[in-house]
Amino acid sequence: MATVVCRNIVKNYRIGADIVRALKDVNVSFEQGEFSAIVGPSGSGKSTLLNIIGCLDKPDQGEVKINNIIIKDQTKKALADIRRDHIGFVFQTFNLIPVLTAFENVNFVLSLKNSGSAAENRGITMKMLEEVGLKGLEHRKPLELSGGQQQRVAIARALVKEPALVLADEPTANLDSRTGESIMELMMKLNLNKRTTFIFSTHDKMVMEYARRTIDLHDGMITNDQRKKP
Amino acid sequence: MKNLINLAVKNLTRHTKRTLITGIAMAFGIAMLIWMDGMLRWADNESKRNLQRYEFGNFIISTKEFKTDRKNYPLNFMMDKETIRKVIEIAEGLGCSASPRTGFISLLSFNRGFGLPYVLMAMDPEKDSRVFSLKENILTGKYPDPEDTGVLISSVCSRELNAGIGDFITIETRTRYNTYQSIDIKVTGIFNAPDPVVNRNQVFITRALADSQLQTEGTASEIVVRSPSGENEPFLSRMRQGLASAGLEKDLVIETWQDLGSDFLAISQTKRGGSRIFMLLIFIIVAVGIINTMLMAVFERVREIGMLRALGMSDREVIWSFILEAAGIGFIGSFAGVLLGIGLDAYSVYVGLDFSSLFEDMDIGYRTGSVFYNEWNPDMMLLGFIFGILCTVLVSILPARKAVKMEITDSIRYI
Repeated sequence: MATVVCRNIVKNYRIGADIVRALKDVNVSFEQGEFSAIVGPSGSGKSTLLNIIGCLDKPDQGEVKINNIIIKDQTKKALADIRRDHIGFVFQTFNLIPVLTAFENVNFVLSLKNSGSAAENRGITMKMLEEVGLKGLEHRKPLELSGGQQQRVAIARALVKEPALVLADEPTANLDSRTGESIMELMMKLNLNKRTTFIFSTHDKMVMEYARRTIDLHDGMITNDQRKKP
Repeated sequence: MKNLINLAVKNLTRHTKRTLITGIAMAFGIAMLIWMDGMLRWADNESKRNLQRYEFGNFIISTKEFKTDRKNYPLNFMMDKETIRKVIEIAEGLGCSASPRTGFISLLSFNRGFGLPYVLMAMDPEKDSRVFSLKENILTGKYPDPEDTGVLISSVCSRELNAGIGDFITIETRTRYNTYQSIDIKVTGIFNAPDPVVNRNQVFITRALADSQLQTEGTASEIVVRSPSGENEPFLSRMRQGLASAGLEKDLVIETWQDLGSDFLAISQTKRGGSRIFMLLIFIIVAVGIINTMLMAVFERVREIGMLRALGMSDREVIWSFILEAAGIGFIGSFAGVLLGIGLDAYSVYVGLDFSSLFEDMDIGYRTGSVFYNEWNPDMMLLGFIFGILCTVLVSILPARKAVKMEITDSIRYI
């Protein structure tokens, strides 16, 4: 079953008197467990597509399905619920809550979901932090962690609720190449272990090499969709 | 909700100084509200007590004609000896105290100074001391005996005339028969009543002296009655019945201290309105402080708000997180404000504030002395506490709503 289905997606932006056509009739699907990169130059529509898939934005035309849920016509509250229950986000700038510790940042997502007891959630959070290699650092606040460690917290936060889909917008852009590689390896490992679908936007060649599927976007259109042979 | 509360509490520690400054501003406002309320409440109740203890007792019985012209102290509508006897008998039969009085509009002078207007009050010292509390406020000299031939003046009068104990002051007035009379009387006592109206306007002689010098011949213009409980009822109704059964209801009228002090009570009501304006001012202080703090919080956390919404936090939850944060500041400010208010209240309850230099020659409308005290006001402390938190919650809704107005995608990219 496809985790994400995008059909005939059109998205326009009005900038002053001009209309910018960010996505032009995009059709793409992502199967469960895929590890895909959307690549293209700046302004090609990568982030717009990622935002639409992540229910952060709505297309002007076309239909998006996440885990078979049609996104069109959903209320703001329903979209928030979909994001909470089905989608994890990893941002370029980590976007952790600075006043919360690593543990609290990850646990916060579980508490939003309101499932499981506090003790259960604590256990799940600790296990997740261990999986991303942050055991022993759980009581540190984001400013006490390196960039790579912060991104690991962000990955743990995205995965702790066991979403169907993780969207990562240029996840290595703010990291040095060695740390970037370790982050990609971590995401790949988690993708294999948990069968979570990963989609990330990037123009980093190193990141593209890790992807098993690469989708090229140019001027809002898919120009190439290539899967690596296993 | 628990996670939102936790987040709000943590957010309060982000800018400790900012949180503290806003909290201190709030605390100061709420403390002032509690303190001012306690003081106004004391002044109000003390004034009411003093109206009874120094001016009107519980009620005053006089002739109907006297009542209509009471402010001019007419001397041609007096109660005769027999009527006075009957009225006092009825009042004492009810367990009340009653004191006949007659006021004479007079000019007082000393050492060839200009005459100063005062009301010369003729009273029966023994009976009067059971109705009024003047005897407890003698500064120097003595409270008059029934046959005393001296005059009891106030500290204000003493200062204005520059006369002290043993000095002879000149009183120019009119007798009961409207003839001009000028008498020199020795000052035998000086009082300082906590009622500025009495202090600034009245001096006292005995009725015996008035009988001999001002031809009152045992008559009096009014009889002041004080009930044993301090309450008007049921004594007022019984007094009316007593007067009716003695056949006096046609000639005499009863006015309660509330009727006679209606001017003050109206002012008191207006002043209570003033304290509401004070509350409004506090609300504005709180509102400006909180709106400013919360708007700063919203603007510096735009990206974070976008991230929280992307993680699945609903707009409602984001708004609540800001409201809870504001409520946290409200709690800190209100709690500190109540503590500070209790401290200020305690000082004013036990020590008081001396406004002598400010209010000595000024009428501020209250029937109190120049040392102001406070009454404990736990209801205002509770109200101030709740009011402080409610204010912060109310005014934080606006910036909190602003936090979710932006599109999530714009929030995340916000620099």
